[in-house]
Amino acid sequence: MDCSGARDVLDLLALGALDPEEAVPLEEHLASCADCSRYLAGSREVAARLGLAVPVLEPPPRLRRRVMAAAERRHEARPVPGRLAWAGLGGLTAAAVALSAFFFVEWRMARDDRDQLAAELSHAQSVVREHQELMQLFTIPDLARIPMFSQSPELTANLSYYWSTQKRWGFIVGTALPPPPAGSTYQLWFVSGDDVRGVGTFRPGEEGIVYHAFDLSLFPAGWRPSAIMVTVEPEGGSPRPTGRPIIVGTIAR
Amino acid sequence: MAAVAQRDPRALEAVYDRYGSVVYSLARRLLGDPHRAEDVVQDIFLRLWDRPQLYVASRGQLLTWLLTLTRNRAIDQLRAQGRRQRFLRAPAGAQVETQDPVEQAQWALERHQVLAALTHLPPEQREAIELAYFRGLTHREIAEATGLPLGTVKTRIRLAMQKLRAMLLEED
Repeated sequence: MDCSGARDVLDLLALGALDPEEAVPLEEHLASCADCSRYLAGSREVAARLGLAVPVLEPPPRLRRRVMAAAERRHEARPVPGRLAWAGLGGLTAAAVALSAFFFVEWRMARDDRDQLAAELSHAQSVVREHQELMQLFTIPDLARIPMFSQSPELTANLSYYWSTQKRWGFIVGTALPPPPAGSTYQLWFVSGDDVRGVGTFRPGEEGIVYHAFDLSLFPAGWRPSAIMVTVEPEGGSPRPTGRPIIVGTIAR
Repeated sequence: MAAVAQRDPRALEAVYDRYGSVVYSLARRLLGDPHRAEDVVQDIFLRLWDRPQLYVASRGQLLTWLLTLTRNRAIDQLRAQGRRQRFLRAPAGAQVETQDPVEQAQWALERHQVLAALTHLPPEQREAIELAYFRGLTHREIAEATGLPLGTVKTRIRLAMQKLRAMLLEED
């Protein structure tokens, strides 16, 4: 493709109106043409500003709280090595599938921007390194997997809970969990007879992928639940379950 | 943005307070459903929080970067839900103007510029932009929806973008 052919379709690319297969030869041309890349940057600026044409609506106040609460949770969960792990149903294979899905989503979000893609790649490489280290956690002898089961046919999520009594932590992982209704969150509970204790709240990430670690050090060392369950609770979680269990798993003695 | 990269929650709050309403408004306009719009807004700001390095300052304003991500994410959702519904006009929703008068004035000015530019387009070119940007249709889908030849659709979009570019961008 030459510059003349590229200029015919660069505006379509900026608007996201080009079919993916048509973008390939264009991308090849852009990789070697600074003029067309500059032109595309201008077209993207124009396309982005079209978004300003909509009337400005005030988002609900709860959305600000929700965004900040989620950011805080990520901030707290992120830097502690060994507390967050990827795994899937069936172990490493499913973890690889989940990672692939994650990277696909990340790639799609950045599809029209080479610089962004380069940054994504750099980040993805660091994520892979991080998770290669974390995968070693699966060699912990007492790591137990508890399969969890949806309580309704409409909910097709596949979740598992892993925990280590030795390390005093556990994590929930899986796929196909829809976002909770607005203003609510998922909450994981331990159940032992009438004794129900909250473990923590979590939300699925992009494409319904779940990976969330829980610190179990506050639970008594000898205490063992007989079951785990997930309910939908108001944002921030509840001291006691207010909704019915939607996903449950039993723990073998 | 440097403070966001330093993981300062107040910096993220400041970015949200500055741009949250615009990002929400676009997501709401594209998706129609307020709950799905909220999910998109959360995704966008958490993306900024998780990976602030993805925003390259030299490549444009943070606002246009956020709007581009928002539009892409919303259109991806529309495409995932199926093509038919994209032909339905998104409900306008409650037209509650943002309360901050300074912010209100600023967005009003920016919005006025973009609306004025769109108004200067011939109706057929404006419709092509509307279908591509706000409905997320590709040029082939626009041709199918309107019954126009593909070449005509491409030409209308190209001419419209050239005029918008001349009116909205300060270029040499």
